[in-house]
Amino acid sequence: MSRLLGLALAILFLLQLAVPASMIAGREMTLRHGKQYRFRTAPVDPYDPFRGRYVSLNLVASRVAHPEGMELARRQRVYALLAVDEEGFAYCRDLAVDPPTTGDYLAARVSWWNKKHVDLKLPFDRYYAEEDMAPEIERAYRSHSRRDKQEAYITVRVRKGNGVLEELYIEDLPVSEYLRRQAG
Amino acid sequence: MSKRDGITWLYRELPELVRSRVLDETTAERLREHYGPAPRQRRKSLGVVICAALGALLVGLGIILLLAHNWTELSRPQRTLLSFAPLLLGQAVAGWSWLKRRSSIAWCEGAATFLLLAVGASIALVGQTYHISGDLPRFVLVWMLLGVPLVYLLRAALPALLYWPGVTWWCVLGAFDRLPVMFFWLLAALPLPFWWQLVRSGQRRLVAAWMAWMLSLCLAVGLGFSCYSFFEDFWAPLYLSLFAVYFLLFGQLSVPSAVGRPFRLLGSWGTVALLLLLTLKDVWRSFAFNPLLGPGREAWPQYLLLAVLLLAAIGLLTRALASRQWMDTLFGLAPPLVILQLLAGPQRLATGISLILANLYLLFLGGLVLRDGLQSGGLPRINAGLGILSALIAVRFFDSQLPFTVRGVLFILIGLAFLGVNLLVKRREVSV
Repeated sequence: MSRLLGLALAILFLLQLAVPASMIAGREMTLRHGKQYRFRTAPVDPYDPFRGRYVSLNLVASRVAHPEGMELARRQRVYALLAVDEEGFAYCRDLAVDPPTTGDYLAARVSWWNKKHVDLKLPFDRYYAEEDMAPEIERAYRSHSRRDKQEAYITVRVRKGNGVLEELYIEDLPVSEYLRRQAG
Repeated sequence: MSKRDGITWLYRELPELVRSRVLDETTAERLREHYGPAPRQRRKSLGVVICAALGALLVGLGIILLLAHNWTELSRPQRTLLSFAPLLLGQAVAGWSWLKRRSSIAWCEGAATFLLLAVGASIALVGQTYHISGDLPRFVLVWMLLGVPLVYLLRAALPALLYWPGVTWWCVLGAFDRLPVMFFWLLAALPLPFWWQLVRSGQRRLVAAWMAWMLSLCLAVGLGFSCYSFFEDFWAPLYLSLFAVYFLLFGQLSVPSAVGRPFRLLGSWGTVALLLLLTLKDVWRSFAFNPLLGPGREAWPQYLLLAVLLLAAIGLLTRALASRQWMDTLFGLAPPLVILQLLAGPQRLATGISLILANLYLLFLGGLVLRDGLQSGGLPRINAGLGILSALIAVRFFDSQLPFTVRGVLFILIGLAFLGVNLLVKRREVSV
């Protein structure tokens, strides 16, 4: 009996390790072998006290034209086909209910829609930062994400429908570098 | 060795010392007289357990803070490895406690609590490293499921005390995200056998009572959110049935009173509160718009849940009737009666009649509780009876058309009646 309990405890420990490990494995693969895209950001911000301080990113690409005759439900999983505009930023050119066979795409969830647009919840919409740095980043990010000047963007690696955020850039500098220069 | 332990040791040794002629019987007797009766075996001190659990909590949080402090200086692989640190530490402590200190409640509770928190911390740290956007309900669910086996493996109650609010939180979040939150009932049931074993064996009564409070509250919250999609149609019958089951079941089970109390309290006051709502015209109007049989086939989980609760309530009600527990009978009658009223609907039973019935029911209930209290001389019960009656009167006056002065005078009279009855009972107690 005691041996069985010990075995059960060992299995539980392995499961507990497997969850973060699997989260890491998939994302590391995407970061190493995925294709890099740049996404423009637009301003917004909440604050989630539970999972550390982060900067909330509002991505221009999360709004897609509603395809003809596509029936949608809230939180439905859809696939956004990616394309790059003339300035080199990614946008979603089309939506599909099933994973496409060619080209890069992102798995996302539907958060809201009307006849014209569909708003997607993309798999990256926050940039986690250290407690005392996050407000600084937020300030820098907001001042560069206004309608008139949008020099804030993120780089994302995309592979097999998964997207992982790499870095937040302000004026073409990684955000930590940008803040260092601002301070210095 | 404290004095008490010393005496215990001495009393254990005395028969042996007499047998081996080191002492004679009279000396042994004199020793016993000198030291008085044998000290009772000291209970496992609760303080130690609480300190262990709190200590585990603080250490865990401290480690997370230390990690977070130098977070930006670390490279991604370093962060990733560090994310496992709290988890591995928690597992080491839990494993060691299981191997070496399985009989120590404090070690097992502390280690299990620490590990439960460490699981959440590790997942959250990985989430931060990779900027994973929030799917909070999923995170909470995975976290809780990875933690709940610790209740059984380390025989620890504190993880269950954290687990129940955790799955309730998942249910609340999930209701907003349209997840299959009916699974809440299955999730909430997972630690139940452990708790029931504690209750039956009579060990660790205080913890068993805490768990009873937590469970009764979480189930009551989860009931509403797990039926969120047809809440307007089902809230009254569902909650009345749940409260009736609470009240009747723990009146009939032979469990320690501290364990039964939360269920009895929530059951009785919950029933009274709902009945008060049912004396309002607007509430019955809303029922007319949302008839109980309106949702149809797609609401089968809600119907099933209601059927289970209602049948349990009716079964318990018949037992209460058979054993002539009139108070319990009256509380238990509420759900079947109200459901019959709802099924009849305003076509067969005018809303006015439903309102009169609800008022009479409460009046009768309050009167019975008050009479019961006056007979037994129990002040809490007298006040409960008076409370029900005054609440009924208060609600009536708020939604009636009487002028303010009349209402004011009536409230003063109710208050005076309260004070008067209490004074009379106190006096009677003193004179007895």
